[in-house]
Amino acid sequence: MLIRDPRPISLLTGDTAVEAISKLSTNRIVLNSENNSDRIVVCDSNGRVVDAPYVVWDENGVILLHCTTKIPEYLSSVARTLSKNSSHVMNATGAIERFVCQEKYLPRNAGMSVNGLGVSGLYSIALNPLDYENIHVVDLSSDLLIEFGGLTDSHLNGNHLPHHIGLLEYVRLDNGCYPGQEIHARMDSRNPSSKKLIRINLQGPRDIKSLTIQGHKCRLIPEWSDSYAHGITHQDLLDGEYETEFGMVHTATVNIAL
Amino acid sequence: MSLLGGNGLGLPMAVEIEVVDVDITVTQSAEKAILQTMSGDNENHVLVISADSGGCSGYLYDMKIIERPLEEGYQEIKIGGKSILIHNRDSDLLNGIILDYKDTLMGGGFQITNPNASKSCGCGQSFG
Repeated sequence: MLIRDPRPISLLTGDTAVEAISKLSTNRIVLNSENNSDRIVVCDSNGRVVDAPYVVWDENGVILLHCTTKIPEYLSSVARTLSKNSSHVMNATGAIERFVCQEKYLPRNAGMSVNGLGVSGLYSIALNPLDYENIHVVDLSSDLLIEFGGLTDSHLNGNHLPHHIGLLEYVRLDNGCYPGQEIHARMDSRNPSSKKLIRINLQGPRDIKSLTIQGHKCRLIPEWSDSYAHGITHQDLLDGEYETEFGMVHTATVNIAL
Repeated sequence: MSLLGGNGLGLPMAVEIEVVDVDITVTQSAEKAILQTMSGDNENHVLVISADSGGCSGYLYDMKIIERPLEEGYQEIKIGGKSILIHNRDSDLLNGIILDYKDTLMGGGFQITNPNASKSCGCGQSFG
């Protein structure tokens, strides 16, 4: 099954696009030579994540695959910077087909793909696949995103550090000054993160804010799918099935939130 | 090959900016430093001060000496015979700035005080 991802896509044109977006991000874009892609994390001044788009180099410019459901506000300041060089930020959502699927179902001849994402690293993103006519396609919902280990607007509402929602590997403090950098630098030197993002399956109440699993507190992100929610807990908690005060819970680590 | 097909691309994001006539103050120490830094440059070289998105507080100052840009859209301020250019698109952010120069080993160099900033970064390079 292929899941069509309707989240917005932007195109940044001009020679200064990489520089402009890198100055807002927790990391400097280094395009992977294999598929010309990288990922950035954009935070607010408190170091909380507001978007974590994949970045794809294209001959027309830099493509951002946003994780938010709406075009994020920070792009207006990028557009302002780029406009000085006659460059632009354009909405490319309608120009690229973006899919999420399990890696084993990845269509051949995708224009670009990123693997090893989501719960247990099982999921992939594919752009513009050519041969999916015979594959069942459904639209991505927030329920499916939670099931796969994806970021919803509840993850990107300025309440979560990248350290806690499966994005720590994109925080590289050698990028210099960016929104939230002081918070991240302080955490790095004083309080190295020991948290990770997990998906939980709980057949219990939906109004709880946290639960304790194997002695580790798990703070829930307040958005549930039919069966699943995401929680932030200690990295030592192994994937498995555990008895909790709210009943049995099954946990699975989100490798890199997609 | 491009990932973008011929269809479906939206219009460029609109950026509405109020262009104002830029007035900046350059302190004596900053003027001296500019003249010293640009002393070996030919007349075609200019100092461009800009504000780009980024940094801890939202916008990041940038100063560079470059050959006079061919594009239009810059406002020119003459200091001691040298040209400082500010792009119209930065005019509302940089109008009224005080450009100073501090000759100290730690935290020295050009400093910008900006009346338009509601917050600024500890290192002085970013504002919002």
